[in-house]
Amino acid sequence: MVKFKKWMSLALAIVMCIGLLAACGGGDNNKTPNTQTPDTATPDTTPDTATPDVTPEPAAEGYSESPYITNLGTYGKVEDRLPAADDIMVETVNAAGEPLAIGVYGGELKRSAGGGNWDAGKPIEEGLFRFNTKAEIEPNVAKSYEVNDDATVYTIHLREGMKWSDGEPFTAEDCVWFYNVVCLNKLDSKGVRNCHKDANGDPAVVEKVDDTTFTVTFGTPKYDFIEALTVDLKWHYAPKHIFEDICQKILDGDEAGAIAAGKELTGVEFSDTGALGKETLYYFWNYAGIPTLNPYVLSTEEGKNNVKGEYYEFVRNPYYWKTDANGQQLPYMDKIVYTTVQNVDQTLMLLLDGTVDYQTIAVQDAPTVLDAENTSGTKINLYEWSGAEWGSAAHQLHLNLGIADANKNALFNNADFRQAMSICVDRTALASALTDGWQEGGQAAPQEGNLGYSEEWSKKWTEYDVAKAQTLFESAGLVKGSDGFYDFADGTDFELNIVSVAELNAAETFALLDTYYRAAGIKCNFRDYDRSYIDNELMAGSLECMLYPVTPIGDVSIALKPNSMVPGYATNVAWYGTMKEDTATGDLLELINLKKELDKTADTDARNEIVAKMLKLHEDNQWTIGYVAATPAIHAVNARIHNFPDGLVWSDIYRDMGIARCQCWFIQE
Amino acid sequence: MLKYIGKRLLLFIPTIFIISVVIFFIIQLPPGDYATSYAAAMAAEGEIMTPEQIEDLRAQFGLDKPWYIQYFSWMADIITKGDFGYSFEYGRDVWDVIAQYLPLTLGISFVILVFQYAVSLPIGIYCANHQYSVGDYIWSFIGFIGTATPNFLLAIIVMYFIYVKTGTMYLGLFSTEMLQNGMRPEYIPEFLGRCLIPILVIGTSGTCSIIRTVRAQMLDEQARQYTLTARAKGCSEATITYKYCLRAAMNPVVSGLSGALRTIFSGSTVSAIVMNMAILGPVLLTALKSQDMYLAGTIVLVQAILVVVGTLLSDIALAWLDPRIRFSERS
Repeated sequence: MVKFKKWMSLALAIVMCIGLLAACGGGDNNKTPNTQTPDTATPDTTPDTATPDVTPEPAAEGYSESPYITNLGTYGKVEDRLPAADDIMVETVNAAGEPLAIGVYGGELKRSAGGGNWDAGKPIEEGLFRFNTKAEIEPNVAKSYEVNDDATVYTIHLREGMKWSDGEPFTAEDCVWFYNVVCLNKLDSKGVRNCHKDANGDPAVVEKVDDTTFTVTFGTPKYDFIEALTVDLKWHYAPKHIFEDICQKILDGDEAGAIAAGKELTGVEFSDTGALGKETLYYFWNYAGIPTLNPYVLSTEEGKNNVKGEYYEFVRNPYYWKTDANGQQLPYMDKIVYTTVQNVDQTLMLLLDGTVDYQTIAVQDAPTVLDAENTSGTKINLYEWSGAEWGSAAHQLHLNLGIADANKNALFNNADFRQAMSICVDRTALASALTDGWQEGGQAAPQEGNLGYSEEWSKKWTEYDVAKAQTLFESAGLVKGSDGFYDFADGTDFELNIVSVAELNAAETFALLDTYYRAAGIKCNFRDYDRSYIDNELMAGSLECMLYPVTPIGDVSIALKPNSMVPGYATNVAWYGTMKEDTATGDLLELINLKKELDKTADTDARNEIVAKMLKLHEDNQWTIGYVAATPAIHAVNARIHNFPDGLVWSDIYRDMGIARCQCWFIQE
Repeated sequence: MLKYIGKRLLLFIPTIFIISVVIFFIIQLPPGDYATSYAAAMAAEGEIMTPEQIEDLRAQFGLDKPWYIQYFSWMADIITKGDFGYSFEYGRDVWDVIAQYLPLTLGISFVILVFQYAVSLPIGIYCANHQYSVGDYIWSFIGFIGTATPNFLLAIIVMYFIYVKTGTMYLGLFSTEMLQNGMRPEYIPEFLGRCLIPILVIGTSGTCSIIRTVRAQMLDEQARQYTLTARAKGCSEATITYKYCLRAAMNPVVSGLSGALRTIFSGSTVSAIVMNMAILGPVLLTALKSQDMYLAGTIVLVQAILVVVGTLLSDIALAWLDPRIRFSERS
């Protein structure tokens, strides 16, 4: 019995020990952990700019392709897959105009994300035109365009001999059919975009001239069509040879037939034709089997073709239409592979051990990322880009300028009140406490690299002056009550009801702001809500004041994307975004009118003047109060990736990571 | 017994019906719906939807109808066509989504369940037989660690130490290579290593209660007359422990199995997220957060059915295990 007990005790101990040892083992033991103390001082975010050891080869005779394609042995000569020689797009510089290194073929970019959509789509998206980092238009899928004198007819020229990723010719018919069938019938759920509407709201007429030319005709002048197209619609095409039959079935009311055809194409049975159209014609990159013009297309291989699965990969497009200066067909990397994570923060962990090659990170994670070389041997370079938002999304105060309560409406629309709310806070101390010293105090204003940036604006109303704030509160009509807090002149209590989205942890910001507000005589309270509640109430305009806006104010240019900067352009954005023309007054109404005037103005100088006026209105009014300077976008990129650009701007208009042009990246260990 | 089982089975129908109504009602209770949550998610990615587009989406998914109409149409499709609806989030049939995650969920949950019992039962028996001994305290302490430490925290600590030690982040059950190339023999050691983390972390969370239950029950049984009688008759300690006491001590352990079916189906949620395991727990959480109601509704409904079935099975197992229950049923 004693033996039995001993055996049992020993066995139990062994079970536990084996478990622990096995969990700790199994790693790559060849990696020598470096026990050097990490330098936790300010991280050097300057990337290792040493030129990769790639000797630019002399321009080859003709064109070359990736061995990956050659080894597949099914695609024939690369010359036959590229557009006509004069129409091939040659990538020589990055979006900032800096020369690109000539790369080498091979390897895969390892990424991590959850579920496809824009995170996977924007980096590989190919619009008819594209922006460089100065917000200038560059040709892309389209070779060039012409416009008539009154800006009513745009003629767009495509590249001769260009092909879809399935080898079928890409022609003007694909662009014209997309607009006339898909957009006009709203089959992709979006319908006719603003870029295709004239001043009266009437849709443009899109007609084919020949295989490489089509025209877009407006009833009234449309001066910003190309810019608006690049922002609103981007691609303006769909593979007619694939979708003609499906779309005809939808239009004929043959729902079962359309869904069956959709399933045959993508392997997915959509619930209805609405979902079918939206998913395959709008989010087309998410589905295997749909040809694109992108550098990478979703794999058709089972286990690798589901963007909602645990793993999926985008493989190189054999018919991609761009080359480097040496005639090497792009992209350089053969694949972009995605491993799905349950929580986006886990990507940082995977970045550290080299499982993931690229990720944007929070600035406070920079030391950890730079230390990865010591811990796991993974060398990661950091690249700093400006953001497009006007302030740190985490620390902005949005007042509802259209609030129903008359007293509060008058107060929020009074610039003195907003100035007082701005200067009653010590930004230096606040920013230091909230960001561990990583960011400085600042105002909600365009960031460097964005239209309208000025140092003066970024410092506006940022001095800490409680006495002046109190004077301003009084000039805004508030009266200090016996309890030491300000009330309205009619004697009613004033209390600022601030809300935020629970998951964004605004309580910490409020706790500090509350101290300053109260010291200045402003009573306030705070409550976190679930995002869905906030979304609904925000759209209904029933919230009063908010920390952490759902979508922060700002973008690269107020002229290109006015959504969060001009009232009435979209919902789900800043307070004045929910405001319509009939409710806006004063400078907000003036802002709307200036935007309308801009739409009707052809002359470049006159347009610039209007845009300057619009920005001045924002600067004068400071409708959104920022307390901490806008957050830069920090890109952590494995050092084996080359040609990653530095100093660009992270913006939806630029398609976020898309402007980094991953087709030009290459891997060299 | 058959009559009893039949009666219980008949009670299933109203029970499940009531549960399904409550589930559906609660899921749609928060303000907003999938359309608003989708619009917010798209806004975060830079795609701004107009109110008209949000309304279109709502109409497309039938979210513009009252909740009870949506419920009855969902139920009608389940009963008449076996169609559990469509997941808005995944853009696929609900069962396709569940089927995608189910094999791994069942596999990992089952292994964890077996681990829990395989570890806890011997420890519980050992501790009862060696009450207040050093071994009793050591094993009880180890058992308590699992319960006292939140799973997700333990997971983070374990992963951190493994990363510092090896430079590799063991996140998820499969490495990128495994997912890319399929499971090959050379990957098996790493896969087993990766499996051990969730098994240990999640498994140890349930061990303590089983250890304490078995220990207490065993001590209780060992003090009974029949144990004394057996010992007086000269039965070996092993016979007394395993043939008599353990059998009686198993009653609460077996009844605890009723919830195990549900756990096996969805798996651990928070720990699964922390350890990046693609199982149904995180899928349910995401579905609830985004108000993907048919997916969330189906998962919770299946869980509810499994609880009801599990309760019946554990009752049957108890009756089989404990003759006293059978006798009282007959009488």
